[in-house]
Amino acid sequence: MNDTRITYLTDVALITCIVTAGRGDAVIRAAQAMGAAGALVYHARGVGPRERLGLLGIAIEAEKDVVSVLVATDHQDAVFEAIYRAAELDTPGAGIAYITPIEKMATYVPREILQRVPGQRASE
Amino acid sequence: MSVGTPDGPAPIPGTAAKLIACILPDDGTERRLLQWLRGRKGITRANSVYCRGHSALREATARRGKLPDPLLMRLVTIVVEADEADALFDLIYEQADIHRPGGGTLIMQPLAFATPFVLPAGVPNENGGPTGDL
Repeated sequence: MNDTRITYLTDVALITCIVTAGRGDAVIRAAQAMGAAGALVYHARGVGPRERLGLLGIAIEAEKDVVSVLVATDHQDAVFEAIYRAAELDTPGAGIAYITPIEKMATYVPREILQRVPGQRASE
Repeated sequence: MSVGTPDGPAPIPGTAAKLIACILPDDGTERRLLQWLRGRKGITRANSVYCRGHSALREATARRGKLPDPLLMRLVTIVVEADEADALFDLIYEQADIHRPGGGTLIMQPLAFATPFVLPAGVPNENGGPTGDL
């Protein structure tokens, strides 16, 4: 069932985590364990630390997984910490993570969910 | 951004802008959206990349300790002028059929500064390129 009315969702944040290719699944599992509804992953090629580390740079894969997770701002700190721990970002060269504020978001929200929100009226 | 001086380099053109990102199923919606943006709205600052989508709200089977197989998704990013962003957000919501189950997600983020993307004049569209007709 389609519903063309737009429900704007605010108080949403985007957590992005860039880790070595193959480590993205651990990040997703950690985020979903904390309640994140989904994640998006794409590949990227990283540059920087490999050059600085010289021969040791071979230990750091250039291929990266970029994992993006949308979360409610109420939960962003908890999800972010879970991701940080899962990705072992305290290890040099393991990757980075950051949070971006989202101004607004829209997606399909089933009518029965909207009806539970105070102030929303169901229209037939 | 920077202010040019008579002797210095020209100032960098651009303004504050918004980034609209669409997470879309890989069913051709993204191509139609890009054509519509270019043909009808004259928007050239739009890009699309393949992504793996992992949704917790989808029924799927997985091996123990493993994630279910992801869905192939498209991430379309569009840079638009700040004062046009709200209207375009609503139009994209309709145009990309976000309002259907599994239709994807639309988000908008503020950008401190964005340069324009001006195409060379007099260069024809590639064959099969955007015409604005859907």
